[in-house]
Amino acid sequence: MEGQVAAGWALLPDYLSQHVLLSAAALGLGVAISLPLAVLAARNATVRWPLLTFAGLVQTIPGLALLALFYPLLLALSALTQEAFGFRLQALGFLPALLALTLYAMLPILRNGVAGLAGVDPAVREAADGVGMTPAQKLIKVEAPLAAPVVMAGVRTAAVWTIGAATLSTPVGQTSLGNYIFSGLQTENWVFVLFGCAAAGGLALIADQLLGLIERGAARRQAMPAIVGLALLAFGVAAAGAAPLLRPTAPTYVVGAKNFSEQYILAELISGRLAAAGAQVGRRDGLGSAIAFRALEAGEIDVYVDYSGTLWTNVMGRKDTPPRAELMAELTQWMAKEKGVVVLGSLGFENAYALAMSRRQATALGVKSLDDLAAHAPRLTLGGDLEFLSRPEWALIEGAYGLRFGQERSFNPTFMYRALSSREADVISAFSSDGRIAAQDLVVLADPRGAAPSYDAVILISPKRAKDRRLIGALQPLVGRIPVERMREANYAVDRDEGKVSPAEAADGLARAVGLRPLQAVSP
Amino acid sequence: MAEAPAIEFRDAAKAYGGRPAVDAVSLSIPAGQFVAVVGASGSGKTTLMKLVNRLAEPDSGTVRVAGAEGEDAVTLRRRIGYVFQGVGLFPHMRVGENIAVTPRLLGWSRADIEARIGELLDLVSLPWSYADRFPDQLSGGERQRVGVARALAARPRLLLMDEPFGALDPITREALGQATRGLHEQLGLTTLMVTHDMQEAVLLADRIVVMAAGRVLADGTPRELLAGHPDPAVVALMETPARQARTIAALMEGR
Repeated sequence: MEGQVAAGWALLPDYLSQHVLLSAAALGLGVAISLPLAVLAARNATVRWPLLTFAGLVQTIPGLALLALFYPLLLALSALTQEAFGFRLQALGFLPALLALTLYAMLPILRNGVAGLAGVDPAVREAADGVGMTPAQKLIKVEAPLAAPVVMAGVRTAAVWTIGAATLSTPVGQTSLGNYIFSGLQTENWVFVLFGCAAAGGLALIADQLLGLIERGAARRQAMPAIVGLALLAFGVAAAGAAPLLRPTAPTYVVGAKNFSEQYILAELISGRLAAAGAQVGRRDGLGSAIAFRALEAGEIDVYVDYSGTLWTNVMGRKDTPPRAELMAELTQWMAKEKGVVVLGSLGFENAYALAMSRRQATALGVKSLDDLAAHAPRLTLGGDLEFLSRPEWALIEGAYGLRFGQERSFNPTFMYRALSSREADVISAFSSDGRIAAQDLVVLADPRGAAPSYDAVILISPKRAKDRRLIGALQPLVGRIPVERMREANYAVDRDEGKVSPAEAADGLARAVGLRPLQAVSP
Repeated sequence: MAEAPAIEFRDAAKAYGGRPAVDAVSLSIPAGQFVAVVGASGSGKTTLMKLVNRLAEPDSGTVRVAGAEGEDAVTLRRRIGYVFQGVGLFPHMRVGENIAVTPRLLGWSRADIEARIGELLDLVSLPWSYADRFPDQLSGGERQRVGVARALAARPRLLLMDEPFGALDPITREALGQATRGLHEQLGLTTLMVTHDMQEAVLLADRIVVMAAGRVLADGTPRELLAGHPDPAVVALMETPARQARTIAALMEGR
């Protein structure tokens, strides 16, 4: 517990400064775009309705989805700019997060801007015309100052929303206070989850109070509170901007991780080995499955671990399921030829998508394989992780065995295992390297028809690092080194409720257990 | 050669949403005259005034302001003082800033503006310390004085007043009316005042224009109109101040 809190504090400067910069940039851009639009909308009824409707519509898109949508959009744009101007836009990280949050910030500013301008007394507006102001002078000298308090209230709302929604930028590869929440949720590190929530909440509260000072200054026509508020805000953003300067140097390599414990542990292992080889290592944690590969392809991350079957079906779009070795060989060849991506090799274990159920229920129903399950499925509930039910692997299994479950539900992986104990699900999409299979006494159902492909954990290296000797040299010893039992132990050390350890500690334990050099000076 | 009129309406017409507000009005107002435009609500008197400083543009006919040929509306308005119905002070500006607004738009020097604020506060009989107050710290009468000061700030030759004293108590109203008439003389203004108060019109103006349904119903000196008019509506309007005067006179004589 104390260790976790200390680990939380250690990460705070980086997470907080990035969170502040992202939120401030999005809010600033939102204000810069929304204010002119609000003036336009206040003057012109024909644009007002579509504008406010559009902004309102954006607001109804869940934040996570909005952020995720910008990734493919920017990827396509990036391909265009590459062709037209010879440079690539960054599709991962800051830019998609900035654009999505800017859209999010617009509604309250726009709405309050229109309301504030519409609320200016028509007699005062006519007086401005009458004393001989031009339309621009009227806007600047009369309408803007009178609407300012209402507009500032909108900016405050937008600031609180933006700071809150910025925690969702972790899955598109932008570091934020959301890193605490996402990694904490995956590894059941509730201290981290609380830490992230408290930090984001505190930041929102402070920003709100400072903007409130500016609002009060505007409403009471007092310069002092507004100046104090502005100065403190500027200081905060400047401090956040200066924070990266305190970090030693830009990372040599960026290691990616998808959003579950095994990925965090392996990313720590890889980072540790690269650091030991003298490289500065950056991290992009909690990436979505499809985003991770695209990011590698685009060179936004240099290395991460994926699974052969996942790449086979999702990236190559194959529906056949050849034997394990054949699949690996074909995958390696295809990746090199089509994508320029190096498949360095299998780590030595599989993390297959498999259906599992509790031993008690499996015994009671007499289910040993997916064939046996098919007959009982209509009376059972399937619990899948967030992506399982829409993945092609599920379609393959479902089709091969004619599985028709009574109910299908999606869970965050952590909660999926809990759902099995609480009988909210009877069958779950377990991962074969998961420590909880043994710990919870689950039965992994056999796949006698070989419907699902094999899922060797493989190290992928981005095209631009394909010939990087230092990188490959540091990671080559991992190939074929990790048996599934050791991986399960490491995963369970992170996932269990009692005496859990951090992914970094688990990675160190894993390194020692398989006879590799212990990791040192890894991030907590 | 006679001096050109300060304001001249020729068949000026203005309609809002198909309903005529000012209907083919022709009027000539010589320089130096104090004219009261009277009529019921909706008679078109405020629109008539807005045609002068082009807050409203005529649909047909012309409105000429002396010396303003070919000028754009913004330049014209800076040369015309306007006292608004309901005051229309800028609530976010101090009294001094309100008064200085047109001189500032005209690019006067800071020193000239400072001096002018003092002059105008004197002119409307307000202490100089009021320059630093906000409008909501003033009484209704004080606000209206500031409104007059603002209208006169850039030394206009022409003063337009739209129901300037409508919301004030009778004593303040009388005093401000007299003060305005005094300023009119002192500064040699041409003044056009819209009011629905016939007594005010009779007591302050050189000439009264009675409007109804966008047309000029009667046009003459207070004495001429009080003496009688062929239109019974005009007679009825003029009857009010005349009857009040007779009643007061009778009371004074103790009958």
